[in-house]
Amino acid sequence: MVLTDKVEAARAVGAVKIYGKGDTAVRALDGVDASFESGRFTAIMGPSGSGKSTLMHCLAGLDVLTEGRVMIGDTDLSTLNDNDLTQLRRDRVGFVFQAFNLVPTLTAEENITLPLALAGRKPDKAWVDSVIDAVSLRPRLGHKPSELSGGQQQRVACARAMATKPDIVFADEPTGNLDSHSSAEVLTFMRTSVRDLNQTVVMVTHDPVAAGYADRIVFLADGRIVDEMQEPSAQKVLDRMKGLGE
Amino acid sequence: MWKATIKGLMAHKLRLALTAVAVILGVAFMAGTFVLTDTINHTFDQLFVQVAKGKDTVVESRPSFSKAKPGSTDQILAPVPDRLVGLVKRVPGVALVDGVVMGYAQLVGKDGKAVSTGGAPSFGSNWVPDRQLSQFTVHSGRGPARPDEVAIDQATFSDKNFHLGDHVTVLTALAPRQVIIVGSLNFGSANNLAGARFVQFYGPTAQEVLGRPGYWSEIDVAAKPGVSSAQVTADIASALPPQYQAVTAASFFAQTAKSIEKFVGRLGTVLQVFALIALFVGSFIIYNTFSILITQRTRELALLRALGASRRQVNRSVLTESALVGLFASLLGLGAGVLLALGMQALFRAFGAGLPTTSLQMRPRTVIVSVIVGVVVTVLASLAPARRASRVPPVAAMGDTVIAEGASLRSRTLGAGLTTVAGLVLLVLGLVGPGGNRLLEVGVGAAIVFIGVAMLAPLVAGPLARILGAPLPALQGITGQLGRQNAVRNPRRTASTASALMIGVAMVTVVATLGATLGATFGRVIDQSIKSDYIVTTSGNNGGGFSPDLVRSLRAVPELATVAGGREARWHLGTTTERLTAIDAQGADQVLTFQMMSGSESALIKGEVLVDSAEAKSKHLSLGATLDMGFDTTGVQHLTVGGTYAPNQLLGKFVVSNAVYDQNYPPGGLLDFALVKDRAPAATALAAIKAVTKSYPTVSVQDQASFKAQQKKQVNQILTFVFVLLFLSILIAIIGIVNTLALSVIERTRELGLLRAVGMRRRQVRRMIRGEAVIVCLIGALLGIVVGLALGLALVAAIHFSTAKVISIPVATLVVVLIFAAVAGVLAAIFPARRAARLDVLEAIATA
Repeated sequence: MVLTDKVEAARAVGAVKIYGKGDTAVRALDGVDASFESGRFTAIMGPSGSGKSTLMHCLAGLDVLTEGRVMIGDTDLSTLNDNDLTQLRRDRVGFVFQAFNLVPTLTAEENITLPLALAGRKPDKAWVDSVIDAVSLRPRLGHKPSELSGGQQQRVACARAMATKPDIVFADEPTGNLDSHSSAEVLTFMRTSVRDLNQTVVMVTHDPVAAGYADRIVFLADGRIVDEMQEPSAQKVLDRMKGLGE
Repeated sequence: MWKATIKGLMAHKLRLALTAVAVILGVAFMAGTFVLTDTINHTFDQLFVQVAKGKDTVVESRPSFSKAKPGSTDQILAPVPDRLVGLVKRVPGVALVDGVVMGYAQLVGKDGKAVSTGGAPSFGSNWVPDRQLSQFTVHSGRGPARPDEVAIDQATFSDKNFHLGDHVTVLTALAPRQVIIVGSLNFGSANNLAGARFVQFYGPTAQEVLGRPGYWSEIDVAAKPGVSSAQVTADIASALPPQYQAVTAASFFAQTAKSIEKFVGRLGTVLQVFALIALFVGSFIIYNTFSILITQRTRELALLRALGASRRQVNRSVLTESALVGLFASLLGLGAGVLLALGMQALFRAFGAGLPTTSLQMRPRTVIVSVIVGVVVTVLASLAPARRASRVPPVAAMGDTVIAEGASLRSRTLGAGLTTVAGLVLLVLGLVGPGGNRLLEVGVGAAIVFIGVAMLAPLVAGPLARILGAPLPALQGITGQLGRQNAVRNPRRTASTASALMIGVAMVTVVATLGATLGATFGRVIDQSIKSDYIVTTSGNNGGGFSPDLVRSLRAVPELATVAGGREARWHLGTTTERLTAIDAQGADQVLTFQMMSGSESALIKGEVLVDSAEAKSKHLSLGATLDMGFDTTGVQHLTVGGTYAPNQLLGKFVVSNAVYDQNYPPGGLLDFALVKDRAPAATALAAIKAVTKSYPTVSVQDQASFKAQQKKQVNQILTFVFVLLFLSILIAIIGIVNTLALSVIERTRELGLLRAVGMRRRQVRRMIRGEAVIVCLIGALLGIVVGLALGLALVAAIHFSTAKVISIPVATLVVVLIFAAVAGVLAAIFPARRAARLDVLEAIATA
């Protein structure tokens, strides 16, 4: 299995997304081809309106492309109905949003195992334990979201995203609402989960510092991929973005 | 501010429409009742205007006791003798004079069953030879001219397929009678008399079978041309002996119409009470919706405040909004009420109680009262939410500031407790306190108790939801758990939503408890006090009894040992109207057990009165005392108290002999029941009784067991009727649950989006909302049952039944109520659940 590290977790082929019709139509994605390898941490960057969130929503099965295809593993999302998409999101995809990640009526632990509970599956105890330890949340498991700090809430969300051993985790500005210290915790967790737990993470972000944690950065502008960077650092990202005119 | 109010209204059309439905239904019920009763009253007004046509004066006996006005049906007057006709005829100015006698008469159809109509009476009268004095006109054939001839109303004639020359049986206060139909009659242009069926006899025969030979109920007079009604009436009055009176026909029959309207009015009042209950429930929905809307609009309200709106302006804006909703809903309700009245009219017609068609009566009072009540209820219910809205601080416009949740929990609990206690005190005062308007006290007291309990409900809603929802996580896993948590998370909202349902369920519980106790008590009373083997009663719904002749015939049957007939009648004690039971004194002790506390039941034979011991105590009547009994026909009679008996629902408070009845009531009185004891084996005896009752098709014969079963069935029928009337209140409460759930779904859009994003299926979303709805419904039902049982048992304890009171809790009914509540929850969840399941995931997540 020489090619193991080159397996694609997700891929977009000729992805076009048009919002609206006629004169007011907006091409949010204008023919994007991108693939996201398994076991890597990829950041998607770009200015506002570049289509980075749209790309992620389409990759995650939350939104539907106008043209082109999205694959999660071997599954072509365009062939799935709502129930199949729901099941895919539940079993094979993890999510971390910018805010409102947790169900307020459930405890931290219940939130983490929510996708498993929805599937009616027994959690893989050892795996869930290792995820919980990785985000160092064990003492806070019985708390409701309202009793957790913003950083703790995002770490719970990360743990939830990983709890099903998903093929891929999508994170949409996961540190957008956090102070730098909490941001670092969350990003470090994502970094380690990829390196130590062999997870796959795709993160949309504005923040060069956050992007600096990734293995690879894809730059989007006006609905197209305009650049790519391997093994970035915050400084390299800043320089590149200046070059992109932001 | 006005503009902002209107804009606010238009922005929340759907939510407000749901709120309005609660008001629309209540107002429709109210307006419909007004329109219906007005229409029925108008029908009777017209009817009696028609009856009065062609007549100038009515002569009748002066009431010897009652102060009722001439023409009123509240009194049963002594008949007037034939000789008065001659006397009146000699008064100058009099053109025509005819006696009129009215009484019970009912045809037996070709199928052997008595001809009956839905609730309207069957009566007989005499064929009046002077056609000007009668509005009955011949449709086919002719009027009766011989003792064995009758003419009947055209409606019965054609419905029951009668022909001229048919030999038929007619039931009267005498023995069943064979007659020949010689004519069919119209009343004016109608083929029946406001739904009533009638038989007209030849004059002297009518006197014999409907009243007493040689006597009339009243005498109708027409004046000569040029002589006024007032003039001829005055002239006749001065010629009459003092025990008779003459009244103008117009005022006489207007009074008759009025006394029928009084009855219709009472029926209308009962319906209005249920309309008010529905509106009361609706006010909870309005309160709840406005509270939720204001929470959801916190930012908008804060922005208004930040831009310079004063507290008063915000407060007034919310109140104006509610007034507009109330107005809009009341007007729609008014329209719906007219439709409701039309529907009811059609329903009456379908049941054969067809009233002569008149146009629906829409009076200004209907419009004014309905709209005012609708608006006032809406505005009152939104007072508290409006005050809360005015307290939103301007800073709340800036971010996620949480507004303070009103008063502290402790002071709220104190207020709620005090309210509940105040309601209970008023309720108990109404039940056992001195006089006053007891029904109003009980009603207002109950309403205050409901408000108090609704205020206390948030305290128990959380724990209750947790307990009631306990099976959900076990049954449905995480969706069940989420549904349960949603019911727990906002106890105040859950409580006020459930409280609306509580009211309807509490009313059902009260009525069911009352009914169960009544049924069980009556069963025990029958066991304890009826010694007879058989009970004869009328099975029809015409309210009439049967001829005393049946008892005479049964006495002649050798297989039977004792037969005693009985009836209920009205009399007057001072200014109050009381009821008595009159029974055949001979044999009464053979068929009934009197639990005599003093004296003996044999006192009945001496013409004395027996009194319920509790009543005797409160009226200070001991053995041998004199009771002044006022009768319409014979005035105040002084009867000796011959004994007191343990209170007994069956006998009522006063018992006299039928001999006393015959002396003091007009002739033609029917019996309500007869008690029969056999001396032969049951089968033989029963066959012998049936052989006699065969010619009385309105009569049914039952042994004790089936009589008890029938009584229970009758109680249940009344219960069913009340449940139907309460259903509207429950429906409104369910609409309230739909409303709250829908608003909660809007509020939780983002959370629903998240759940969908991490893998909740649509079916699971629906199940989650359903779980929440069922929990809310069950809380409402449970609170209702608890409050209802408390009120019901208090009511039962306070009501004077008899010593044999058996307090019974209708467990089966209550279980059905709980199941119904759960089903209602499932139904209430349909719309909100569908809405929640259809949310676009991406949009939901993006919602700020």
